[in-house]
Amino acid sequence: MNHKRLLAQLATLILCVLLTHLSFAQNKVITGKVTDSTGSGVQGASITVKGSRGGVQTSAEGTFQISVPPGATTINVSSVGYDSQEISIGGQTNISISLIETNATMNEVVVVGYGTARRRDLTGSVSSVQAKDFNRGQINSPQQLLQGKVPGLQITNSSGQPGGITVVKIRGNNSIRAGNTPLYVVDGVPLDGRSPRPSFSASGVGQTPGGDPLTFINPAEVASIDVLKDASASAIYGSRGANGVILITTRKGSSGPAKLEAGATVGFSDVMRKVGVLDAAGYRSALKQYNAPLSDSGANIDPFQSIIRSSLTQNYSLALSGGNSNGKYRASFLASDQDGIVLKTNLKKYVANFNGQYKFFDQKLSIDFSATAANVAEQIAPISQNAGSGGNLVSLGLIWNPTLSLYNRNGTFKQTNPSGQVNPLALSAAYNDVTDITTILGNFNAAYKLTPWLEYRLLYGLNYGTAGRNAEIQGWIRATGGNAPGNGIAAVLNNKLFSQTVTHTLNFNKKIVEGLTLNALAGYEYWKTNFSGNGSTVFGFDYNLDQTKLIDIRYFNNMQDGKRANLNTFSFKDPSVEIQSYFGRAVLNYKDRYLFTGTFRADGSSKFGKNNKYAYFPSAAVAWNITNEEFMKDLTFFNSLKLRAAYGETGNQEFATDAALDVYRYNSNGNSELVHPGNPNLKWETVKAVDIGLDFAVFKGRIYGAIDYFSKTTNDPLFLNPLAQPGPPNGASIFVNLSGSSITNKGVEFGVGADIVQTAAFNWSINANVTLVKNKFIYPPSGTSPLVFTGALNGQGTSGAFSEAIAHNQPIAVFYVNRFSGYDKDGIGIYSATPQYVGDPNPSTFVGFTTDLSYKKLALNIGTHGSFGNKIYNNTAMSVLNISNIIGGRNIASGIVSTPENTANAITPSTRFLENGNFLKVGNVSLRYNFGDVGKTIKGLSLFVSANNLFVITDYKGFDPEVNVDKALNGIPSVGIDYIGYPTQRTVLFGLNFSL
Amino acid sequence: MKFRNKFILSFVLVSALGCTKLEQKLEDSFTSSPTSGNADVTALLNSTYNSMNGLMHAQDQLFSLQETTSDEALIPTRGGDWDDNGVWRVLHAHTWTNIHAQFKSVFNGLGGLESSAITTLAFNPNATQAAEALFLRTIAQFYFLDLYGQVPYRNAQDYNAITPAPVLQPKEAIDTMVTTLTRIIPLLPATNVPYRASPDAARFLLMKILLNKGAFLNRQTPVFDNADMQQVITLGQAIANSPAGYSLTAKYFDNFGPENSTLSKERILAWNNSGAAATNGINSGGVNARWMSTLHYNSWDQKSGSAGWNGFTTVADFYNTFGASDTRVGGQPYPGVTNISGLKPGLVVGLQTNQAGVALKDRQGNPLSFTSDVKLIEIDKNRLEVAGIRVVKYPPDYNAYDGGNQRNQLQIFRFADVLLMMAEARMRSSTPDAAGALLLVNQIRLARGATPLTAITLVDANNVASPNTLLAERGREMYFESWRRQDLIRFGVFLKKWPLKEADSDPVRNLLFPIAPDQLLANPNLKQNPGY
Repeated sequence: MNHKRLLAQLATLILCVLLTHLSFAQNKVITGKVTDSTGSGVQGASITVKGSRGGVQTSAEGTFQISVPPGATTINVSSVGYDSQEISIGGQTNISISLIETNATMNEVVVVGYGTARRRDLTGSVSSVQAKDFNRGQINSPQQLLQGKVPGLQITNSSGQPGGITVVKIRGNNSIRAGNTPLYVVDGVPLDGRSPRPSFSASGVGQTPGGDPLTFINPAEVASIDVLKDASASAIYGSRGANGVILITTRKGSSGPAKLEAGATVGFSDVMRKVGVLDAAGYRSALKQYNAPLSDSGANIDPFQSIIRSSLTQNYSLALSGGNSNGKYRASFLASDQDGIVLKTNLKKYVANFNGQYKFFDQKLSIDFSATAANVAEQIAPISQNAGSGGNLVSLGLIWNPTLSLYNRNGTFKQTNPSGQVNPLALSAAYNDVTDITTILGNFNAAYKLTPWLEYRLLYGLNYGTAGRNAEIQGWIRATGGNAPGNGIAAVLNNKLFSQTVTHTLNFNKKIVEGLTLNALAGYEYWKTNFSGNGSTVFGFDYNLDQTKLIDIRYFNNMQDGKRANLNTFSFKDPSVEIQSYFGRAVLNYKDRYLFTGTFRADGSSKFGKNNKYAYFPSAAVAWNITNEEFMKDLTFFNSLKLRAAYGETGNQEFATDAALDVYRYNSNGNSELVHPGNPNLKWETVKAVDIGLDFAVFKGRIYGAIDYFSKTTNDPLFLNPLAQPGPPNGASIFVNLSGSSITNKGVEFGVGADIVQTAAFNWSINANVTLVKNKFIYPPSGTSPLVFTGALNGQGTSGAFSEAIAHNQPIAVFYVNRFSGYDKDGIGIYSATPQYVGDPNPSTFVGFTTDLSYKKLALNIGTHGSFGNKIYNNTAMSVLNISNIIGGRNIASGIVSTPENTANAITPSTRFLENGNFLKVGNVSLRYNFGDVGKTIKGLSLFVSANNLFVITDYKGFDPEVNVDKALNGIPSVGIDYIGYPTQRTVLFGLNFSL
Repeated sequence: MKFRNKFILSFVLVSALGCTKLEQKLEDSFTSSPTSGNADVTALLNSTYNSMNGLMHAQDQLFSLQETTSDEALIPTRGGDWDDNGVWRVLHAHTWTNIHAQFKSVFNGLGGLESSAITTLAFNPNATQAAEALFLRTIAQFYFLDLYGQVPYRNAQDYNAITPAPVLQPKEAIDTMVTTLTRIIPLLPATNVPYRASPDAARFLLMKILLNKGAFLNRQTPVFDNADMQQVITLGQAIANSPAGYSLTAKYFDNFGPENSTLSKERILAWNNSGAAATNGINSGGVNARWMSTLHYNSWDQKSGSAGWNGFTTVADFYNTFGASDTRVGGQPYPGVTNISGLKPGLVVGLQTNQAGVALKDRQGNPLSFTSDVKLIEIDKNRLEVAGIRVVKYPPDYNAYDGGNQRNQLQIFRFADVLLMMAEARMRSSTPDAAGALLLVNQIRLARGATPLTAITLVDANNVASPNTLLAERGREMYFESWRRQDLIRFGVFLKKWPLKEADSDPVRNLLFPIAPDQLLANPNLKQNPGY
């Protein structure tokens, strides 16, 4: 090969020059080899003689030959990514030197789009988290593994419900639309991002929140997660890359004899934090204070406590793996059963995974496959996100009169509350709602090395999800409103989601000329997804209408008993979405100093309007490994210093699948309508992003980190725009790319890690990250008026109320309510005349902090995360716990009895219910004792105890400031609104792991 | 295989696979055009009728804009209830701003109705279907003009356009509507049932347009053209002599009760709610909002706690304009209602009892007794739930009290209004015919059990509640039927002081509702109304 010859010649030349100059001093020649910790030769390591000038570099095999003057005693060996070493020459003429990686992260392999890269070669902003650094404890979806770990990543558990949605945003809100979720790619297969779990909304009870689409992944089988944050890294994902990309790599087998790993955890959960309401005594004295004695019913109960419980969690996992250099396999199983802290809530998971990697034809052909089958079942409580205060179990627990018994004397549920509330225990008993989601994720991957530097790869991936949901409210319930009381209602719902990917790639990796390597990728991808569903609802059953005469037959298993006239059936099938893409990437590396990456992707989507079928997404990035420069040789303080700059464009195509077409529909009873007119110009929104970053490692690599400045601008944002009237009745809004509008997200993120103490017995390392981000929506034509509203508020007396707006020059979903300035002489609230922009629901700062301590076999990990600078609208306090409740015989928040507020004060959305959202949460604590091998058979035994959501430090008065109840209005998502959600659970787990 | 061949092969493979056309196929719906022939114009017309659903019956749509902004209706804020971010209060007090969900949703609702009609017209309807669609389009245009003073429209060929729509100014809009209605009257089947367009419904709408024309063109000082007034009278006579045989219903509340589809003789356009399957796909839904929105939580002890929403009230000044014997004020037992819940329809005031005469209680255990006085913001906790006279125009259908298909048809165009419009036209003629008007008014009063008036004037500009005026008579006959605001503007008193409202300070602003900012952005042809 040319470059080797060239290098050899170069080395010879240098040697000759050296020899020429030094030959008179009777120099001694030393030969040797420099290797890394695995024994492979290290190319390009520099060998210098202490006290003299000049030096040599090692060959591709790591060998060197150097001439040393007679007085020299020491040679210095250094190479990027390794600790420098001084070797005493003594009498040796042949020296073997093993270098130690200074900072493993610089050499680690990072998964990037359609391939891998060494971290040192990266030009973009990519964060990689390995399994050993994941959050521990009870993890229900893989996003939770990363919470607080990655700068720029804001991860919010939207509720405490087991399996509830974990919201992930990378570097702010790019979109006005719901599509702020990153693209998830599991072992190369891009996921649809939706969950097939049907939603259920019963009149009077409202709609319960959705489930997380990634619960089917076994978190213990995740080997690493790579987060592509800037456009240089994510632009290769084109029209789906705008919100960043999260690449999940699952664990694979390794060479060696078969290994069986087993793990078990058992634990308990309770409520992390309660909302302060009056107890019976406090309520009684409040009734006196407000002169409403009729509401004292004599009992002393804690209604909230009656609907929550201390609950049991169990997880069992097993994995079998092994292999040799030509074939590896891994099979794993997880069984998990988690009771929620609210009555009749549960998450059950069974996940099996089998994967293998096999090589043929002298390892030229490699075949990889992976199959995951998962069943996730939930039992759901009636904790809806949009009920009036009547129908939500948690709100009922909070507002039920604490002097009114929940039971009648004969032991039945009391259903005659004079103030009309539903008995929370009765609602819990009468409500049954179960989902069952089966997911199959499979991929088949074949790669063939056409030449040592050219590889062809085929990937076929499929993701199939089918979900059923059965729900009933038994007819003996009273006062929920809707059709349930006296009738009983039931629903049987099914959805199906099926997506497939075919990817062809050619990977080229070659040294072009000395010092210059080209790593190039060309590919084609076809992705298709289908979503369909059907269901029936009915009310009017003949049994379970009297709580003293119950039979244990669910309505949903006996739908035919429902009154035929009340039967409603439906089905839907979305048009297939097809995306066809051509993409390429070129990475040029010049002497490990100068790096250039260029990517390009063309995406065609069946969703786009006919005038905009193809979208093009370029990116370019450069990086400069400063430490590899000659002038840095003596600056040993820096073990690594890399400056990066990137620009790229990515897209987002999250809009209704049929939005580009005129859509007509036949409805029941001889009706047909134009549902919405099509927008033939509809296209993706484009995020143009700049990232400038600096990676560093100092103090022999013991302190390392990165700082990035980013600036992103969303152009042609997708927007559900009001249609100029006249327009179809149901199509009052259509999807457009709002011209003249943009969304900007600018900020800085900083992550640093430090290995503070590294001794044989005691190790202490910390990791910290902080992200500052500022978000703004720009649309000059709308002036100072809000463009649209979001942040729907619910509860008695607040019909149609909202709290947030999308407005020019304001952050996305800025709070837009009246300012509250106290009470007048009658105790009636005083408000500004008109609503004002009063706060930002998006945190300006979010932080993560992890510390790992180990002493001999004992290890302690603590993970905390927090966010600052945002407001939360406490809709719970506004609607559920307001002072007028006391007249209505409902409970109130404990703080308001001391205010001068009149019981007749209207419930007015205002800054009164806007609270600071600042918090710092100790989300993860784990203490582990590694016994190591026990006897001959048991290996790597460890026992541990872990805690999730240990406590939170905040002034916020709701259950948890880490909250995001979905209060979208007209399809515009809300941010930072709390409305009687599922309380956050604190879970303590005890567990053990071992292998055979 | 040589490397070169492999290389070429793989590229050929990759390119060959990359030829998907990306055409989208709808699976549960379809795409269509007037020429493709796969859309059914009959079904499109049915949907056009149904796009009035909600717009006409819901308590927070057209009904609210026409009634709660007037002297005869208000929704007080009752402590924790019915504040709804102040939306109701500002309507009665005339202190609204350009951001109000109801202004926006009514505007969009009217646009939906008009668009559905235009779409029907685009899909090659026959002459009758076209006439029906044009009638429905005119209803939308009429209310656009009445409420917002501007009429966005599209030509039939632009039925699916997403571009800004052209806008008709009042004069053009009136000309378009008058021409259209005049043309379709002979084309509409006289045999059409009252929930479909008929010649009489078109005549009625034309009467409304001509009668209001002077106000539509000059809201501050309406000027009425004699020729228009004479045409109103002629059209009214045509309706009165129609083969449909309208007459004043013997018992006033039979016009609104659960049996009104057979008992009422006044239904010119009445919205059916007996279930779409029974009525060729046309159904209104949700008439129960008319009683639920005003009745107390405990008004029917069988549904205690959720028997009503405890919202809408009227004021004593309105109540007091009724004479003692006037049956329209209510307070008399109504069969099928009073014997079931104790409720006596009409204006409901004082102690409420159940069907057995036992006093009902409010949620605090006090006797449920509606007070005649009311404040915009009630703060006395003993009055919160009971303040205000309730208005139950539609005697409830207890078989579908809070859900399902109430049999009550929603009256949209009613015959008594024809007589009142004729009376008004006589009084507004260039030679006012007060005697002729009085004859018509007393014809109604007689049927309603009220004593005949001896003299009548149009309006008392200094006292909106003055009883012996045609405006007051319209109030007594047509209350809570979605006409009051329009009447007050036509009679020139919409900006005057009345109970719980001061005289409007701006001489123009409140005569039209504002156009929502998002519509202004979507359609630059719309101009914000003066004062906003």
